[in-house]
Amino acid sequence: MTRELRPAPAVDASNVVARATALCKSYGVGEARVVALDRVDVAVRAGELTAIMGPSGSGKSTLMHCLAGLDSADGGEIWIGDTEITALDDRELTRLRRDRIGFVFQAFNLVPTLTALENITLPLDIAGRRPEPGWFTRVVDAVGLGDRLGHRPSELSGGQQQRVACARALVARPRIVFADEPTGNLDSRAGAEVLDLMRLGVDTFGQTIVMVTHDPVAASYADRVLFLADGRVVEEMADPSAEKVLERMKRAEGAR
Amino acid sequence: MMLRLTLRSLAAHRLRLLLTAVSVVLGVAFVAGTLIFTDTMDGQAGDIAGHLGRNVAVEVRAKDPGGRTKGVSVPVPESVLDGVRGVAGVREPVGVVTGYAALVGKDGTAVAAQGAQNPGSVSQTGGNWIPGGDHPLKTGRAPNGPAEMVVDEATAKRGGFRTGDEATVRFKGADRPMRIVGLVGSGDLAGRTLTLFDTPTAQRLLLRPGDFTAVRMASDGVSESVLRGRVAAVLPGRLEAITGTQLRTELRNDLATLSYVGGFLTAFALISVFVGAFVIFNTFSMLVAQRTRELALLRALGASNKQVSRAVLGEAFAVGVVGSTLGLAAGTGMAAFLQVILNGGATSAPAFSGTAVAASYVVGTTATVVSAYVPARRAARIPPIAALRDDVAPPQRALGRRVVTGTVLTALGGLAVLAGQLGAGLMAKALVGLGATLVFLGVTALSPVISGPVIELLGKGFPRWFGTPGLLARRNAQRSPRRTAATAGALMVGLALVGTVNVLGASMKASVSRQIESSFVDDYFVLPVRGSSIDADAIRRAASTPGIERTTPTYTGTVDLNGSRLEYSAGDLPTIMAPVAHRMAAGDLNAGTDGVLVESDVASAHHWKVGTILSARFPDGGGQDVRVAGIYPLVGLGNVMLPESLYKAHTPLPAAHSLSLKVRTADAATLRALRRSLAGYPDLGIYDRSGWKKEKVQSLDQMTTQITLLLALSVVIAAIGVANTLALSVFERTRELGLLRAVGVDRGQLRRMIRLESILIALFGAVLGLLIGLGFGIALQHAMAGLGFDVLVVPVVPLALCAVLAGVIGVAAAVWPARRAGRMDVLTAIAHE
Ligand SMILES: Nc1ncnc2c1ncn2[C@@H]1O[C@H](COP(=O)(O)OP(=O)(O)O)[C@@H](O)[C@H]1O
Ligand SMILES: [Mg+2]
Repeated sequence: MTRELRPAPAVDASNVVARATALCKSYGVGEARVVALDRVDVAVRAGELTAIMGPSGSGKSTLMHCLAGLDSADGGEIWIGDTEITALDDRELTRLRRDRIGFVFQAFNLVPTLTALENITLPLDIAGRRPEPGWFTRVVDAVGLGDRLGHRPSELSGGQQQRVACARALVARPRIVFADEPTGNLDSRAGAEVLDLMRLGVDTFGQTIVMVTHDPVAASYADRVLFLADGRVVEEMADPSAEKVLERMKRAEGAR
Repeated sequence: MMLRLTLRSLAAHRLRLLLTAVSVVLGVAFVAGTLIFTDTMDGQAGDIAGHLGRNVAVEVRAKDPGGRTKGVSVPVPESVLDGVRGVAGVREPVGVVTGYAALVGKDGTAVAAQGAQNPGSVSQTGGNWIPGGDHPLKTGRAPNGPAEMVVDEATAKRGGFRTGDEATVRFKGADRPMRIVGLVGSGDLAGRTLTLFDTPTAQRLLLRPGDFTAVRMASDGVSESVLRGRVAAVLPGRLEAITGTQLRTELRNDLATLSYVGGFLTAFALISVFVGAFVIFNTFSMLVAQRTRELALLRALGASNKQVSRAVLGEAFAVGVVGSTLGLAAGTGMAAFLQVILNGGATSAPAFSGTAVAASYVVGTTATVVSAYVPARRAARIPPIAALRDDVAPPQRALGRRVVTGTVLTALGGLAVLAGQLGAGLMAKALVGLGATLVFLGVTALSPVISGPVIELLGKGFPRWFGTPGLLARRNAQRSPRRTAATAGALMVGLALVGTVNVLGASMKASVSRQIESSFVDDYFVLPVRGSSIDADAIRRAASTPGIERTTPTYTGTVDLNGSRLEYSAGDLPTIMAPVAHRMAAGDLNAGTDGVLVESDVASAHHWKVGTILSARFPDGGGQDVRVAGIYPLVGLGNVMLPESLYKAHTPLPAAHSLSLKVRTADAATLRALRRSLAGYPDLGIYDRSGWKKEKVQSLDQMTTQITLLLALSVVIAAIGVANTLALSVFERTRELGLLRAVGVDRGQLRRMIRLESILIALFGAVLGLLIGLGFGIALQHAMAGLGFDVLVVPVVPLALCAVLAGVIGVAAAVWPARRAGRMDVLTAIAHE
């Protein structure tokens, strides 16, 4: 990355992995125009699990896609580490995703024709890197798939598939992992296993993770929760518990 | 990594890719089959040529390149033999005689050559047996005296003769009893029978005493070219000397007459490959569309767009290689089949040349990779975010540009075709060809745009006739215009060509019939088999047949006029030219003894006018000044017409190329008498007007049918393409089909829906193709009207049949996809991810 002309913002720079300032994004034109993000400012701190919550349509996914360089912003700045990404071209964005960012999606995370193990090493393979052996074993052990690593995604349960997706995100040791409702399709037990794995990633591997979720229980695994409403960050909560989050959500409902 | 993905993806979509490969296989099989076949034939021809003419250092023969295959009109006199004997370096000069002689079997008919006749040469050959010559004895002894001969083994066997047997030999003019005293080999005769006599007998019966067809000689160490120079120096003007190497090359080329068949087949092979390319393009487009999410996921994980497109191209490459391999195998089988139908039996093992193998792989792989290029580019443009959305299709450019490009191309093409109609000559024809190509490209570009309305029209009655499935079928065929157009495009190409060929064939037939009606002024027509000619004796016999009023021979040959070599026809000009007498551009038909008639465009090219004096040189070495007496229009008669007297003055052994007979009363008795008079000439055919017409029309019909059959292969490939597209659509719409089933559509209705969609797509392609073909056919006929090809016929019934056939193809193509759709389980269909 060579576009590092501007100095990184001063605020607690050492601890911030990703940040957005005055981020704007809208879809459609005229009557059909929808403002998905309305001058959002966020900062993601290193080594933390940050949850993003908010009612459906509040712009959670859009925020995440913009932060990850998957979608383009209309205005504002986005920094991943010391790189401002809104001006990058496709080739540079591709390298950014490849080298610095990991993803876990709600569904369709895995390439159906590859085995679980091959899916885990996919980002490294694409980049032409070899996994660090010790690290690789630890991550794969943490997934707890045992002898099912050679199976195709279609032969795994939804929870197992999501854990494979998490492992894939962790194995490449990206600066930051984005997860969009990773437990949205899972029952509570499978969901808990996935969340445990993400927590493990943060606690023992020092990974930075941003997770969008609807579920107060999922949010309680996070170190910090950002609440979005109508394309704006309306509140921030540190050390959340399921009860606190639920109560906050009820309050928001009542305010309507 | 991308390699692994490519391989996995290939394995996962085995069936689909196999179907794609089939379209490669068929095209490549055609290419490989043609090449292996021609290689095999070339190999055979090479064997024979290696056999014939070996040890020959120089050959002396008549200088008449145009006339050589039309019978020997200028022989080599025996004196030449004595002349070359005195040349230093010449060893063992011998006179060679060839002519027509056929062994008559016990049933009274000539023993036929094995397999098909070799066009361009007499298939029943007589000659003189030469010690140490081309045909060493296998058994028995050399022929000696007027009643002995040797024949080739295979012919003797087919006739049921052995050494020592008496047999009848049919010469031009008479049947003669002869004794078989020996047999020569016949392994490599490429469908000829061989009857050999001693030299005086051969001269007397096949040529003329004292003459040879050619004189050949060996060298006592001098190089061929040096010897050729020395020999040429002692020859009279009408003869030439060629080296043995040239002789062997010519023999080889004569025998390789099937190579034109090869060129012809190659054209069709390439058409098949071209049609196959449509199918490949379509399959890969759909595979990319279906894998949008997977490819987007790779992009999200950091794969570059190059890596994605390379993965797709890698798959195409693998499909190409597999398809080419299978195609090569299928092509070997096809080559054997071609040998059977074109050469009367698989006589040789297939010859695999490196070229055939390389060409198969290059053609197959290139076609596949090139066809997959656009889909691969499209794959590369898939944005990573597509992995996260439910509703994305790969980015598609709007059809607006297509409308512009298509309209411009079509309009330009149309103008070029029209301009071609106005002009004349080669330029005009080239313009029509260019215009046709442009129209074709234009319509191809436009076809997605017009597919909507055309299918609306074609399927107008569908909802009424077939209920909801009919409506859904029509909507489905309309919903992805590019896909529908590309699928139909393959059929369009094939049927456009079928349409063109049929319009041209029917028009040609009608034109030829009319020409025969107007130019066949007499009652009967005598024509030799290809490669033979009508000698003076036969003409005399025909003329003296009771009931024949007038006999008009036509001769052909070449002459140099003011240094330009031109093909001429000669004969009694007022009779031969009667049909065009009233259309002469200048002058008249009364050429006298030193006048010639010239075709209008030859005359204008050389600025010759009536009265121009030209210096003529004839193949016999003689020359004289001639006068342009008349200029005739372009009617397919040849460049120049000579009066009979001029021809005879310069041709030692006149031999006619056709005979026109006028009778006093046209009745069966006259025809019988004529047949009797010419009974000794088995190489001459007698035709009356309707018989002649039938002969001509039949051969045109045959040609049209053969070409149509060859084009059928491309139609088969197109049908596979339709099946492929439908199968992929069914897979793509699994959820939707499941939903239909869930709301109560039964299996039968589902199947019908798919079948109807298939029929609509096929009909769309057929209608476009046939319309284009019709246009091309009409334009081409128009452009060639000047060549006597002046009647336009639109063969409505065959073309309508083609449209019906397209419907049938639609039904056939839908069988498998429909079955798949019908078999689908409702629950899994809905749960399908
Ligand atoms: N591709 C799109 N086109 C148009 N509108 C969109 C698109 N993506 C999201 N939106 C709109 O933007 C708003 C925010 O969407 P999103 O970020 O997906 O919300 P969330 O993930 O919080 O449910 C919504 O109103 C949604 O309808
Ligand atoms: Mg969302």
